[in-house]
Amino acid sequence: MKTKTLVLFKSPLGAPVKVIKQIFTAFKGRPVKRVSFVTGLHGDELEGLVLCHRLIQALRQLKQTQPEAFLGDIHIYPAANPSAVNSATRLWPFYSEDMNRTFGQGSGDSVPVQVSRALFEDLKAHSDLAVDIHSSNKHLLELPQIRIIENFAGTLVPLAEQTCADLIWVHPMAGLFESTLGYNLNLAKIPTLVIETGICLRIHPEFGDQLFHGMMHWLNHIGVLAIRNTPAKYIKAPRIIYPNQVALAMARQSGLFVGQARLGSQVKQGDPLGQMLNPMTGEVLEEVVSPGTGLLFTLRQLPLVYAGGLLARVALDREPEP
Amino acid sequence: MKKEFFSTQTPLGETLSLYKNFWEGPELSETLAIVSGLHGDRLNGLMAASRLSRFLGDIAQGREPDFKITGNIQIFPVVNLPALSEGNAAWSYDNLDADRAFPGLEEGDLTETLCHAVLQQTAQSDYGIILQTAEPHYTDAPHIKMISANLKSLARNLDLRVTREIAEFPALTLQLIKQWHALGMASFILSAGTPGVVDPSQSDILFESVLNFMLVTGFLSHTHRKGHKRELDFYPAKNECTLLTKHSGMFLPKSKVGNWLNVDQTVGEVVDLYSGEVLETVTAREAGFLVTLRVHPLVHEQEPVAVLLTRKNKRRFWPFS
Repeated sequence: MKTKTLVLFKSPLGAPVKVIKQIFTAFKGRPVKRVSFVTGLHGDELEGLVLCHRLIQALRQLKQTQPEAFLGDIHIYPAANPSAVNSATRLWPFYSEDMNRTFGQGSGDSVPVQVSRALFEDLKAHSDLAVDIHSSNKHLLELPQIRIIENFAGTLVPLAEQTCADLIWVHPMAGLFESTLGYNLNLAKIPTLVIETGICLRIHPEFGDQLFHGMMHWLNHIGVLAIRNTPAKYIKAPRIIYPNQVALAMARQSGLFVGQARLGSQVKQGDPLGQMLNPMTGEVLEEVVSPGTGLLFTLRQLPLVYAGGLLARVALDREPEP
Repeated sequence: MKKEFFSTQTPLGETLSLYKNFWEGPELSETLAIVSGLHGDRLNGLMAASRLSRFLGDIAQGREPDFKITGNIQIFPVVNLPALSEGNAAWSYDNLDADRAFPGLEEGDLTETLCHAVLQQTAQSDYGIILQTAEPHYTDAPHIKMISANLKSLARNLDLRVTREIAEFPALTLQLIKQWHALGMASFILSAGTPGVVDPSQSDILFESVLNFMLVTGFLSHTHRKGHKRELDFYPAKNECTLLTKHSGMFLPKSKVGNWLNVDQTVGEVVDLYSGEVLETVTAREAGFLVTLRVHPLVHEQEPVAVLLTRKNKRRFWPFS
């Protein structure tokens, strides 16, 4: 394993701000493919840090015991936004800049944008495929899933099918994606899978296990590694869902949401998901029920909700009637 | 006059409402939308919007008898109300920059629904003006920003000399001005001053600028005052020169925004935080108008500390151009 410092800025107090990547090169000759894993664009999304740790640990061991298994290059960027990771904040502190809204041409010259630019150029120069790992914000808990903008579905869905995630969610393009790393890499013809898993500021070891084995399985599938040791219990075909297969439960009123369903469970339309409470009066404002029959893949964790806020998402077993 | 256009409840059951002030002109009049408070810490715009509301209210009440309202005018003083209540740029509940959340959502998180409501309320307008200050840690000389160079003639009505083209970048799609632009509205941002600070002289400039616009564009009439079209210095985005530090430390400005700087003129110094030793003198690489200057002293290496608008291909627009 080689360590490379990608970006190095001196902070006002003299300490360096550096983005580091770990490199595992092919055993011999030209790599069949070059794959990059990026996480920590949002400094409070820690599931990706654990996944990168697991990958680095396993690949280091593999390098020692079975170096010929490396047919391609693997680049791992465990903390793309180190200032935010050190502060455990979503945004780059001091600038309050969302680093995953700074990609693409013409975004300025601020320090976060300069780091984004350097990261993007390095990824472009050293990747044939990439994986960008995120957790949800502080409001929602997510099952491990791959999110794909429909413009790129033709290339990405076959790749994502080998990741052992629970879901592949193909969704429409929207303006907010234009400045993200995943969209811009895909636009630059570097197929990039965006993982969303868990919730910020917390770690779910079971999701980490699933995605770690999923990523190793995927690296085998795409020919970057030549090993076959994915435990059978982790090998699964993700469910592929399209926009009309996602049913949303939204808060009709503001209040305190107390969930009673389990993320990842199969729910029927009308099954109870939780209650919306008025903490001041003791009233139950609303019995929140499942908006459809299927897999509960998103569930609200931050209880304080304003009317219109998302409470749950269900991947429908059947497409609704038109 | 004052009208609630959005209302919800907090989780504790308190009412949270957004209001606009509006004045109607004669039938078939054009509509002007003025928005401030997209961020909870951009206070000069808020102050100017408040003054405009009082002034228009006085006209409507007959306390300014020489003026007459001759168009439809809507003022939205606050968009991100929770952030303003906290004294932050964004609301800590979602950390969402409201000016990166347009077009918003009809049903969604609160900041998104606030943005959606404001866009819906303003979408039928013919003109839009957003009142702002510089980004956090910077100060701006009063100036106009606009997406389309085609609006130069109209920008003269704003009575500010310096006009800056907004460079296209992906996240611009999420900003109110871009949404307005896509709807075909003639849209401008007026920026002056520093976040978190009310500077009466800067908010006066914003107030006078909008007042002149309303007079020249026909939203107001006056018995003898007509407003005027001002000569305009238009600076394309490609003419902007950003000055970066070489060293980290404390940046101490030695210039003021609004000044014209010559090549090699000192903009500021970077000093070592511990020794006080001067590490670097930041100078103007090119001659230009100093539109933006760093006010927070702590800087990284390669930190932008100033923006100069340079004369390369600069065009001056006068009414006959």
